[in-house]
Amino acid sequence: MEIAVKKLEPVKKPDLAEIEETGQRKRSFIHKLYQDPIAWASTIWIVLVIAVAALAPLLTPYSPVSGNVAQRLLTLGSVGHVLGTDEQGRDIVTRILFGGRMTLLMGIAPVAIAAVIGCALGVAAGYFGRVVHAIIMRCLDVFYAFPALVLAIAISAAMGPGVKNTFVALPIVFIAPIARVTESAVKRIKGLEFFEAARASGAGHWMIIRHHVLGNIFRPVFAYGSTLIGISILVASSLSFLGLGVTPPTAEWGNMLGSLKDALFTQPAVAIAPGAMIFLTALSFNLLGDSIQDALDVRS
Amino acid sequence: MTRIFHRILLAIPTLFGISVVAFALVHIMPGSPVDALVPPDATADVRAQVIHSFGLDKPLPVQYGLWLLNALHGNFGISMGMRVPVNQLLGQAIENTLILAVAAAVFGFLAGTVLGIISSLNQGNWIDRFVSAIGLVGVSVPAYWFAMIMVILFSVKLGWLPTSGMYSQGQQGNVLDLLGHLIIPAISLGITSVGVTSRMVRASFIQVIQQDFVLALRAKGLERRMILWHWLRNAAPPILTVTGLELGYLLGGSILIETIFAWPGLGGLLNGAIGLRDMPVIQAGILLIGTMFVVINIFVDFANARVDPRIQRT
Repeated sequence: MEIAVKKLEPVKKPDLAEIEETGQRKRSFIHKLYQDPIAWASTIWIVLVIAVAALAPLLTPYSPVSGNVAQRLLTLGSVGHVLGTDEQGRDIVTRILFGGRMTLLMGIAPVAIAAVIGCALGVAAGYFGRVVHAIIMRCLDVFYAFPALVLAIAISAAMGPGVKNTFVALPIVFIAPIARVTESAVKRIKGLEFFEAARASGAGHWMIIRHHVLGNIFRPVFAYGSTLIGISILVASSLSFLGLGVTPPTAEWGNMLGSLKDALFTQPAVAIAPGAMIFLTALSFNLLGDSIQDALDVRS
Repeated sequence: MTRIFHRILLAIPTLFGISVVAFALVHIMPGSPVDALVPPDATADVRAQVIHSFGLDKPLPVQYGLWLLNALHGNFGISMGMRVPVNQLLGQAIENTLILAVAAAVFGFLAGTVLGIISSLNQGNWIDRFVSAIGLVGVSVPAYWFAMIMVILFSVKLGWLPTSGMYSQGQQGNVLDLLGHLIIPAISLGITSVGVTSRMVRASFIQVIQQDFVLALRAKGLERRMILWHWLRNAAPPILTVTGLELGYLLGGSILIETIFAWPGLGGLLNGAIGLRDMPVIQAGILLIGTMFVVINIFVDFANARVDPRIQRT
């Protein structure tokens, strides 16, 4: 939810000297991550969540969408339902396992979509002259005028609930910050000698963009994008919580909390698990994003 | 003076863009907005009448112009769901949301600054790492879940604080009662700010410590208290900026928190309107939040220029 703050960080100190030595860099990047215990811990959690989400049908005998109403709102530690059941008697563990699929998807996919579009806009703004730059950047400024969550809620509210619409609303939120990061990276490259050399050698725009620009903006955009996944998970689950994202009966951690909030006073303990999953997963992605930024040396 | 004028002038295109986005929301909505107004079995005549009465038969640019003109006069149309003028709904709601958002911003700013300073003074050791971890928890925790946990703990189990609402029955206007109701929502809403602010304060302080002038001040034998003052002034601009942005985010985040606590504010109103697809209310809410965000940012710019004259020159 805090996009505008983070956008200041990654572009502060250009590390131009290192851009050329790509091979060396890749190895040292992986190596740095390899030595970072926090990166390990967060990666393990993320892999674990991905694994159980993928294997969900094998891990639980229950259905994620239909439950036994006679067993509604069982508490923690009930026989056969370790984390209890929800207001429709569905097993919470099962819903969490299946819900992880949606949450992961809504964390990663919108950022990926936004990265493609944001990069295209950022490259266009940074590469082609002043007029294009002014048009693109001023239009993006408008999206900065809304807090991310408000923008996502507004678009989802207008388009109606559903996963498909979330996949439109969330990328729109992330395009502007990614385009800004890309644009400043492109500007930096434009001032470098190899860029001049490419121009002088008569390479066409497309050639230069493909070979010299895209290769060199990957690092900052990747590093920045990795910090957005945690935010995307939080915003997406907030939408579902409000009834705007993933709609029932499909399980998603945010909409699980949304329906369990009405049971808060009768069976408070069952509301803890889905939120804890959102929290731990967002935290892992944030930690991993920080580690990636450090390893890529994008932050000063 | 010219600077102020210039800055406000620069905000106009952005405000224009915000109004376009707020207006366009209605028209990206699948189906006609009329569907929400008339029963499915209405005759074509009734439909046409409703379309005409809401001005939906005019060309889009005209509709936009009329809507903007009315909005500039404080008239946001009539709520489709509640059939009352939107500004009647907005007035009290904005006040209530501001009470909540400002309380949360103050909490976020104070807690974040204290944690950030502690962190930067202990750079690299376990205290720093522990405090930084708290900051990261703050930015990763879903605020609405945190709110639920707080309610379970402090209202249901311990019974110290009220579970929801703004005032107890018959306590309308009682400030002490309001404060009691404000604690959990404000902390839940502000928890993200604590994380963001503490990280920013830490980074900003560490950057300032490393600058030569701190060494120079120390070398000339200035009191610690005075050094701290210089320090604060130099570290302040990014912190002010982030606090301003946070206040804007809190206005947005209030949608979730107000829903949980039945807080009678803009967020609760918007959430209700979303359920009913009450577009005039949603439009007005989005327009207001966007505008407040821009205004807050202008204020922050001025505050920064006052604190750090170097900014004025750039």
